[in-house]
Amino acid sequence: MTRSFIGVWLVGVLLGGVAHAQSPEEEWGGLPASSSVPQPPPPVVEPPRPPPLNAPVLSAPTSGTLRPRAEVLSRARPAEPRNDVSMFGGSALGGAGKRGQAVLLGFPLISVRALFGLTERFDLGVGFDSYYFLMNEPRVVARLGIARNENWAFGATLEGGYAFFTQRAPRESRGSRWLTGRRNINLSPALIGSYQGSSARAARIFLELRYTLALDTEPYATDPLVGVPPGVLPGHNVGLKGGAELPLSAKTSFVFLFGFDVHGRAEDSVVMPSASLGLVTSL
Amino acid sequence: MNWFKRSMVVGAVAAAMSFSACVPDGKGASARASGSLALTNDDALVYAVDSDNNELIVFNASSREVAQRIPVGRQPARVIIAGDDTAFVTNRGDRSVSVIRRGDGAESTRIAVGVEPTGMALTPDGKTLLVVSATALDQTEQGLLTAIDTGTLQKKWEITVGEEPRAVAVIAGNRAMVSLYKQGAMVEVDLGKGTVVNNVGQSIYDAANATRISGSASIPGGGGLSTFRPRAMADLIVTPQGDRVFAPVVWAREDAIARRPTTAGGYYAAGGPCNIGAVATAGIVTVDTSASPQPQVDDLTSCFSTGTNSDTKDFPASTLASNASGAQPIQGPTVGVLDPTGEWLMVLSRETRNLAFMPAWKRTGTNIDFNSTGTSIRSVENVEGHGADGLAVSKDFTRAYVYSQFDHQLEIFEGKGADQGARIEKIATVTVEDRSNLSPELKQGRKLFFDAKNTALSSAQTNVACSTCHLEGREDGHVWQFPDGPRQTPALAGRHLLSTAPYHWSGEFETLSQFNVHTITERMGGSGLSTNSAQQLDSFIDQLPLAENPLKTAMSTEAELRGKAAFEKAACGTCHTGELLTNNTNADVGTAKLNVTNPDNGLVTRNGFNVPSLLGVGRTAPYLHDGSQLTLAERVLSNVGDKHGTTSLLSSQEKDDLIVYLKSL
Repeated sequence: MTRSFIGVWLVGVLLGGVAHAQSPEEEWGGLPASSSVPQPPPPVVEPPRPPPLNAPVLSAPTSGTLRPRAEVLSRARPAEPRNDVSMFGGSALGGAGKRGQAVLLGFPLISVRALFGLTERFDLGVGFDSYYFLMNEPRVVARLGIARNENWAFGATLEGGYAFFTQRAPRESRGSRWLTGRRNINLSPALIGSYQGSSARAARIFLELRYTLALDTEPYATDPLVGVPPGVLPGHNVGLKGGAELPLSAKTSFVFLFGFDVHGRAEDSVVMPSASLGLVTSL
Repeated sequence: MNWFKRSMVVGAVAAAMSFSACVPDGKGASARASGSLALTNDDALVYAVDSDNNELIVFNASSREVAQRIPVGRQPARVIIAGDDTAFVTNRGDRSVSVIRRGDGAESTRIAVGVEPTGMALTPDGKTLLVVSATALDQTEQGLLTAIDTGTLQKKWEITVGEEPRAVAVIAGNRAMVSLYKQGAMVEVDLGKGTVVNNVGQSIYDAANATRISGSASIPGGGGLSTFRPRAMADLIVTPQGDRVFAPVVWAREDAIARRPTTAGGYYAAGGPCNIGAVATAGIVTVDTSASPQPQVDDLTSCFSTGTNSDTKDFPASTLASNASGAQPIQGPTVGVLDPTGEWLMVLSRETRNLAFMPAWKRTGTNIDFNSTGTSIRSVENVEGHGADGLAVSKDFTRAYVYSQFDHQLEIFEGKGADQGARIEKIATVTVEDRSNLSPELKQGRKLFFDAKNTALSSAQTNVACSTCHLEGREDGHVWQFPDGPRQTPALAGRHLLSTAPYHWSGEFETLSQFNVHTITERMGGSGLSTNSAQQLDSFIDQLPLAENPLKTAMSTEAELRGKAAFEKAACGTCHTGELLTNNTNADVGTAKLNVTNPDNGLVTRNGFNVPSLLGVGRTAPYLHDGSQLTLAERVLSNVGDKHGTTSLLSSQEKDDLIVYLKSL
């Protein structure tokens, strides 16, 4: 009970912290890119009234200022930077010192990621995946941008982690191993392709094909008298995920992912769907 | 970055929680062999003790041949192998432990212990051998736990641990658990201090009967309000971490049993724990021992159908279903082992001659449907031999060995295939030449006595053997609430049954044949034995040896002689007379029970109870037909109205002497 409470509290703190880190103008309820809207121009001094003619009489404005027309406002706004902060797309962060973070809440996993740009094409970072604290896996993440143009990006990632399970493998029935297909040591290369439109707020759509080598360091005999298995038992999973990063600003996006994993171990679920919702930011 | 830091803290905390959940507390001494079988550390040799032949049989595991036959003491019961492959054998009929070094053709020495030694365990460092004996040398009420230095082969200490200890297992924290066979209880022993620190018998009972004890009025989904108590706790199986022990038991129903027609399986089929099995149903008691021992036992009254015992529990179902759908009947669990990783529990049942496999830490998985069947057994393999009481698994967990005493044979099972195609096959049977002088009639009678699968004896709904209640031909100390009244299981061993007609507590059966027909057909639901088989069974029962009594000596003590005089003075000898200490008549001793659900019937209220023999009475507690007096002292001192002997004539000293005399019989 205490452990469950701590878990719920930690999730709350985690998400609360993310929300708190947003600047007021970037609150989730705010209008997109409201911070970049320029202030209206200063009031225009009314010109001297012309001498009366037989011209038609126009009604006078009701206030002492002139409201700028919409097209004028649009022309006055400076060009918006495009959101290039991608944590799940095929492009790297884009240079040394750049960074990005993501938090995902979903099924079967909750995840956090932090990436740091080392070069134009290469990011390195850390992450943490958890099946609601029944499986907890700190991970190391590397991403390589292989090719990109203005809209398309193609990259590869490699993630590796050590998972800690609250239950030992033989004592678990349909638990975190069955759901996630993961074991004690997991190594996951993936290929990612993504597309982003040209506009400043264009969504970044991505598709990821991932293979996971899951090494079980506590294997057990799944059947009576079949023998004690070797100390490390490999397992193989393949997953396909798609989703989109939906920019809220130049630095922050909503993200959602849907997909499924196919698990190679007989004792795991054959196919497990996954879904996540979260936030990507470079703040 | 604050949230990022927090997320890292989350990970660290979660990882710490994961670690803390997995750290075992200390070590135990796990055995992958139990009972009459053991394997050398390299798995090259299989050792089996043969009780009829008084030998340690050495099999070559690869050639599957008998390599050696080494004489040991009388009635060798169990064998255990030390780290240097020294074999220790408990000689049940010789109050000793034989020591046999690997490669030797004879025992090196013999160590004296208590009476009827059986279970053994080695401490994890291999320096101490623990041996339990059914009784001490100077009393019958308490058994012994003896610690022996395996280097010097000298006793280090010896303590009494309760009534009739049978098995011992070393658990984490330099402690041991000892099973009390008849009581179905366990005691915890501090090996450092050599003291008993805990008895978990009551907490096992309370867990098994939680609903009834809590006073719940009705149970949705069936199951009734029966209560059950464990007995026949023959073995203790400890995990490699020493954090859990499993004990095979037989659950015995305590509340009133209704009469059922033979077509419904006889009235021993009148409802077992969770409506599984019969009034006596095989089971497993789990006790977690990482800290103070905590029983993990299903609530047998409320049953699985109420959700109280969900399939998310992390211990095996407490019943080994005797008639669950698709399963083999299981009765008479005798010994068990765990695989070397401690995840698969295997229980060998003598009376149904099979080997059950189940996960040790969960009740789900392939072919396990706890919610429908109430059991967590994965598969059951038939064993051919009768009297199976030895089980061992190879280090690589690909082979299981079973030794059967009555057929003197070793059966070897091997796992084949993997995953969906995994199966178990018997690959060999090695039979040992029987050189004992037991008659064929007695051998066949013994097989019948211990047979719960023979439909001539027992119905498919009942699956009980004579030995299910008359444990080893003795008794189980249980009082059954039968339709004719409360009836304690009487001891058969050493009572020379053929000479003590009539039979039953009410004495309504003039011949043993009549009694057999009634018990086998009406109670056990069997179709009935042939005349020849009935004679074999009767012959075996008649020749069962008396339980050994350390107080029975060639020369009576002065107190015993005074007690014998008191026995006559109180007119005990009027009924308990002759060589067998019974006049084979009925006597009213004022103990009839009328205000219970199943009151004593008219036969006994009119005629009294059949006078039982007093031979070996010191080891047959509790006493009287309803088990209402727990000790002989209680029996002698609480005799209201002199209805059961004129004990009022005796002085306190004479009563004490009388008790001493009774214990010496």
